This record gives sequence, structure tokens and C-alpha cells, in this order.
Amino acid sequence: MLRSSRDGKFVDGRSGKFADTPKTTQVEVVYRTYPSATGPKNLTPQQIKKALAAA
Amino acid sequence: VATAAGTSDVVATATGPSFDQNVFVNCPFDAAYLPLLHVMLFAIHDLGFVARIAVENSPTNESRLDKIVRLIKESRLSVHDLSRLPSKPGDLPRFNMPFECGLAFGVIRSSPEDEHRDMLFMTKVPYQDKRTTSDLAGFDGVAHHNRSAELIEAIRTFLRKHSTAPMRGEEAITARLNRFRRALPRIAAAGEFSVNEIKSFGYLPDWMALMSGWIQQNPTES
Repeated sequence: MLRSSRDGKFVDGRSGKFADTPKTTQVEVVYRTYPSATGPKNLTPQQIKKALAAA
Repeated sequence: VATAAGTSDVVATATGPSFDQNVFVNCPFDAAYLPLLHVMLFAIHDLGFVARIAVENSPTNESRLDKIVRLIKESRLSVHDLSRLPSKPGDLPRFNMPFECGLAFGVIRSSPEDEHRDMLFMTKVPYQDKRTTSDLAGFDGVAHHNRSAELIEAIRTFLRKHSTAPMRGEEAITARLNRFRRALPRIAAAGEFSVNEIKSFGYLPDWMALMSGWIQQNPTES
């Protein structure tokens, strides 16, 4: 764990020692997906109209 | 009509013809939430509003985030479901919903000329927001307990404040939703697709088109 010090250096939160550059931690990034967000619909307007006619 | 620098695009979209009826929906987009999403979308349309959602089809090849911002700006109202939490140790929290809630709040606050914007945020249990999003102190989230009746009631109570039109009650909306569900096999057969397909997440834009069309065809309860 790293904390910024007043002179711009970083302090290791566990050891308390100064470090010039912060350590990096790998983080897994999970993206939300939006199927069909920009593509065509699965059904055509004609299919929608025909289907609703049967409702 | 813009009067202040940096607000011209907001003003331009806020004067669109459907701005008053648009409700931006911000919620988990996955199969687990889909049944509640169907309920929410049906309730919004059955109460005379139009749900705007990030999975709807877009005429342009805009980025996901640009699309979300555009939909928020084009919508007078927004609904944010912040109920989703990691279900087991090791699961990562989903930051998209609070992030988009913040975007909507920013649009409201940066559009002082448009005082009619409003937002509803929901949680699973009462006071959940006091621990997860304490910056929203002063705003009361509504708990829906993952129950459709409570979700509809929350949506209805919120939209009631923003419409003078007559609004049917939660039980009537639920009854109409069940009518639509019973009609789906006929609708699917006529359109040559399966009920399972139309109820799946990948067909959500098509389900919305059928749902809104059915509501227009069946404006009364019986």
C-alpha cells in the first residue's frame, strides 16, 4: 500500500520506507457488454408488425 | 437557445419532441436482472413514458459512453437501480450503475435552466444506499427487494410526480404485463421466432419494440 508524502515521494504503507515511484498493482477489468448496441435488430420492422398483428 | 458556454448541446437535446416522456434506465444488464428489467420497461411504457436504454439500437456508430451521455441528456427523467452488490467473496463490484447515476446527476446539476429534470434511484433493501453511496445523503432511495410489485410501485410513484395524465395502479399494470406475456407465444409464432429467443437478453431491443407496440394496440386494461 502506497501513500503520497509531502515532498512527492511515496511511502510504502507496510514497511514505512520511501520509494521514488509507486508500485503498481494489476487489476482485472470487467466490462459490461451491450449486445446489439449499435447493430441491427434481430427482427425486421416487417416481422415486428406481422407479429403484433397476431396479438 | 443556449445562454451559457458549455450548455448548448444540453439545451439542444432538452428541447427535443420526446424529451418530456423519455426516461433513461440505468441498471444491471445481465440475464439475472432481465426479468426485473422487463417489468421496469413495461411499467414505464404503460404509464405513458418512453424508456431509453443503452442497449437500444443506435443510428450512428457512437461509442458506448457517448451513447449513454446522449441518452441521459435526451431524457428528462432517469431511473437508477443501484441494488446490485457482489454476490460472493471474490466477485468484483459493478461500478457502471453508480457511475451512470453520477453522470445523470451531473447533467441535472449542470442544466439549471432545465429545472424539470429528476432522477429516482433504487436499492434492494432500505438504507442500502446509506452505506454504498453515502454521497447521496439527502436523497432517499427506494427499496424494491427484487420484487416486481414493489419495483412497479416505485416507478409509478416517481412518474406520478411528473405527469398530470391518469395513471393506472400497480395491480392493473401487473395484470396487463401478464396479458402481454400470455400473448407472446402467438406473437412469436406469427413473427417466426421463439418465445425463448424474444425473452433473451440478446433480443431486448426487439422485446421493447413488441412491448411498446402491444401497449399502443391495447391501451385499456380489458
